[in-house]
Amino acid sequence: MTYNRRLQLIFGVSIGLLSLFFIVLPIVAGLLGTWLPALGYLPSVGYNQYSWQPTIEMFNHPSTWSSIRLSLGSTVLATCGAFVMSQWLCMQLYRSRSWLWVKHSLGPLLAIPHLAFAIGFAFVIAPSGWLMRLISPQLSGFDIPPDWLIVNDNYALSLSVALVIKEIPFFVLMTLSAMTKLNVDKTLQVAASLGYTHNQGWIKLVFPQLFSSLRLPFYAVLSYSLSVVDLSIVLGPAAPSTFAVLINEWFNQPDLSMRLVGASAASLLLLLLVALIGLFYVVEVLITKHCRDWLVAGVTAKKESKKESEKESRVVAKFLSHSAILVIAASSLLAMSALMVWSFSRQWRFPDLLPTRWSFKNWQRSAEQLIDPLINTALIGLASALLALVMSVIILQWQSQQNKKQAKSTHWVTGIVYFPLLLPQISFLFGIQIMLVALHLEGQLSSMIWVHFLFVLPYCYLSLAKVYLAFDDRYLQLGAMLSQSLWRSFWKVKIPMLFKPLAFSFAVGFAVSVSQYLPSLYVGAGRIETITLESVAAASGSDLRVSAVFAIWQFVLPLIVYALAIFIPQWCFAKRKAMN
Amino acid sequence: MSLFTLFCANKKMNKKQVSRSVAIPTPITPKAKKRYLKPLLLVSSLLSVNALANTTPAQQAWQDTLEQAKNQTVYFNAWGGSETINDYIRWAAKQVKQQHQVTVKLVKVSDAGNVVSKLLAEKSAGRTSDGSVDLMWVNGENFKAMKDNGLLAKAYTQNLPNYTLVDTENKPSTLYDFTTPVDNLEAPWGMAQLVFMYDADRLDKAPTDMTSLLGTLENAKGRFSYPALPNFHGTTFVKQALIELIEDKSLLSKPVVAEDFAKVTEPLWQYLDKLHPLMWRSGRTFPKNAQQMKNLLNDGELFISLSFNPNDASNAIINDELPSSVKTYVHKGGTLGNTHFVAVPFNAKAAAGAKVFANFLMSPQAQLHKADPNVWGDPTVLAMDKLSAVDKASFAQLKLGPATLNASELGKVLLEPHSSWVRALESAWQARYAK
Repeated sequence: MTYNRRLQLIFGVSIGLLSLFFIVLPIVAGLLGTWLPALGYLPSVGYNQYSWQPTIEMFNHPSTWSSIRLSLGSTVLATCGAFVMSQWLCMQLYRSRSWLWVKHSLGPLLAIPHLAFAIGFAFVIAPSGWLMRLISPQLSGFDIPPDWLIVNDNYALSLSVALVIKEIPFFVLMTLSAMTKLNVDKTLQVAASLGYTHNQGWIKLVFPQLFSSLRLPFYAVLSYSLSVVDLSIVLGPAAPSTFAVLINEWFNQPDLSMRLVGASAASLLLLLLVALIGLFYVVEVLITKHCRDWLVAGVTAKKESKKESEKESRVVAKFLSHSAILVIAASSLLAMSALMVWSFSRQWRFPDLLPTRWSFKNWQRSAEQLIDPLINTALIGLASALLALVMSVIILQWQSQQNKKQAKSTHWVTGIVYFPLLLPQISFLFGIQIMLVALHLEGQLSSMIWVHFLFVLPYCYLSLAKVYLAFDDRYLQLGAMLSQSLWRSFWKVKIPMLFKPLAFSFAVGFAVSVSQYLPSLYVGAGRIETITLESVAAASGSDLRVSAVFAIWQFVLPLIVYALAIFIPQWCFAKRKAMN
Repeated sequence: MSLFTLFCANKKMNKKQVSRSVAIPTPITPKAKKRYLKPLLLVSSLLSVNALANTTPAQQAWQDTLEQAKNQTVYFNAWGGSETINDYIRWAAKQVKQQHQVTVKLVKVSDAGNVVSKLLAEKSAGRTSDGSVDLMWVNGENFKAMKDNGLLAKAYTQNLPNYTLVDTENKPSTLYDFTTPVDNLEAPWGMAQLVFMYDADRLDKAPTDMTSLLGTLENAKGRFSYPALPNFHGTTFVKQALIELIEDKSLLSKPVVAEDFAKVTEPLWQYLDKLHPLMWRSGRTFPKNAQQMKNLLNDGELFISLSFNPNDASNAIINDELPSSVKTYVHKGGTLGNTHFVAVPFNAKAAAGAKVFANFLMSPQAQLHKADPNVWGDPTVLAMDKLSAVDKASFAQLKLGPATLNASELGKVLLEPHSSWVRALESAWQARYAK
């Protein structure tokens, strides 16, 4: 065994051990800590006998079935909607004039926390909301808001729409990162030189290559939509609510035996997710099988006459894709502006477009109260994002050193990194809480950083992996030749060359950490206040003026870090033109 | 960067926070301060006289508690959804810091059930001391769950000096929390009574009972709702309807008899079936909670809302959360009322500090400040005739808020039904309306 091989092995083993102790084992403990109560075992409340009682009770609950139906419906609708839209937008807008603009708007869009967006969005579209106020009372004739069911509708449509709007930027980001590995331009040229249109080239050549990198993000969004609680509370239906909200209610019901029912429902949620993922996998396999012939059969170049209608449909498609982008950008902008106005309002009633009385009081109050939560949030975010970034670089560096044959054997690491993202949070946090309490570790900053790290790591890894692995390591070798040290070359050549994606990945990690609600709730023991915990507490009180201030803070923190992630590399490398 | 430096940074911040919060001027006027201080000085001088003379064992025990409590940090877990209430708690924390060197940290929770669940997790992990919660705001079902599962510290309120001032005779809900005997396991903090709020600009006349509510809504379709069960306010509204509509009211003080439940609650379901089509969004969805209903009332989506705090409307008008045209009303046969409490969990780390804070919350000073509609407007648990003349006068001087009913207008307080009704009503309601 050569020295290099041995180093690789040590690298691999230590990564394995690190991920075993900090990711796999705690999560397994968390799952067991949920599954045992699901099977009737929770000794502290006097349940020492395994039984199916909690499961039976769960299925007997009147809301269970319809709740599950709602959750599945909104999850599939939101995930597929966002995925299809994002792919279509990428296809339509790639290399168009708006492409750069789309790329630049991703950061701010991703920085908007789901909860903040939901609160603002609900206000924009409600019958007493901003859009209605815009046309009332003059145009609409409404002095009082109409009794229309828009937000909290019984089919969870408003929830799904909000999810679609929020997940499109994420999918676009993932597609962008997947595209760095391909030479899209050249690929499209190949298609074009054989007479294929842009879209045909994209669908036949680009998309199939992209998809393998989008599969895991797709499953992650599936899992997120299925288990999201804070967003569904604001926008989802109330009677019955989505399954995740119902589970959360059960976990928090005064009747402690309901914890067991909650635990078994949380376990069922995990099974549902597994089934959904399985279903989509089967669909994927079927589509692949079905389309293989079509993909390779080739189509002779279109005849001239068809080209006219082609052009027309392309204009329509352009228009539609621009409108879609506009809707996403406008709704995000409106939602955040609404929060901004609310945060300065004192009295604001329908149908006034703007508050009738303004006040700084909401902000003054927040200045007194939010110092601690803000500092906690920033510390946890910075620490967990930094740890996750370092871990991602270690893993990726290791993976990049493997030759093609070995590369397959490193896939298990990717699996482990994704693990926390694919599991619905609610399905193992109760168990993690029990474990931390037993170790006297709950409510500590270190445990909080750790639990955030779990959810931050996959995003850091995801947003970095493609660029990092696409890096041509011959630069590193050249550097090593000149500096006589692989380390020095790594620090002086590879890291600076990858500085931009590294900074962006850090910012993504930070934003993810800021928006964590359930992990902070279950691990913080209420002693570590974060801005998101405060936001949800305020939103449960529903005084929009205070909620708005908190939600804006929840948005501003990641925005600052995103801005820094863009400007610091530019500033650092201002003199190195090739870096930009 | 090590974790250690992170910890240090955080600790430093906490200290800063404490010193800063002391520097904030209290909302009490100097005049008022004098009013509060006088009886306090009296009490403390009495205590010190007694300390020189023969102290009773009880007084000695309390002195020991005060001694133990010094420099403790109490984590007070309370629902944090109302800034008015959070401000009040911060005020109270400042007082006990000054008077007894006890630091109180407010841990805001979105639901007291979360705290119960946390305590449960601690218990299942075998942590019988050093718990993360020292004191919590609780009542009703959560209290019962804690009592049934041994999540409460030993009975303690009988040892708190201010407990003797509580009006246990005329406020039976201070002894029976939703019919569960309190057994000195939690200290009464405030009183609540179901009241309705309506916008007089948009509705000429307020309903007087459940039946007339139907009539009102015929002319104002879609302008009333209640939060979906198991929300606390939603459950309360349904219980209120049941009390008004059930034939044999005596059944409610007894545990639910499963066989008869459907039959005796039939009038309730018939009523709700009639009510829902007239409600907001035709009863197809419901507001999340009473606070959201306040927003909806403000915007005119609703004309009628409900609250468990008789001062809520006044408070909201003062805060510009509601227009001044909003008024409070109750049903003519009376409305449900109860008491909310603070309890010490079985594994509290700073139990002594928590008791000192609980005792302070029941003090005339704290209760008076709390009853002020400009502060919180939460009715007192104290008995006026047990107070000193000065305190009594201060309570009498409290101005009623612009939309607050006086004691006689508030009418009869109806006792909560036996706690088994809650679960039964919730599941029956869900089976009908949340399927």
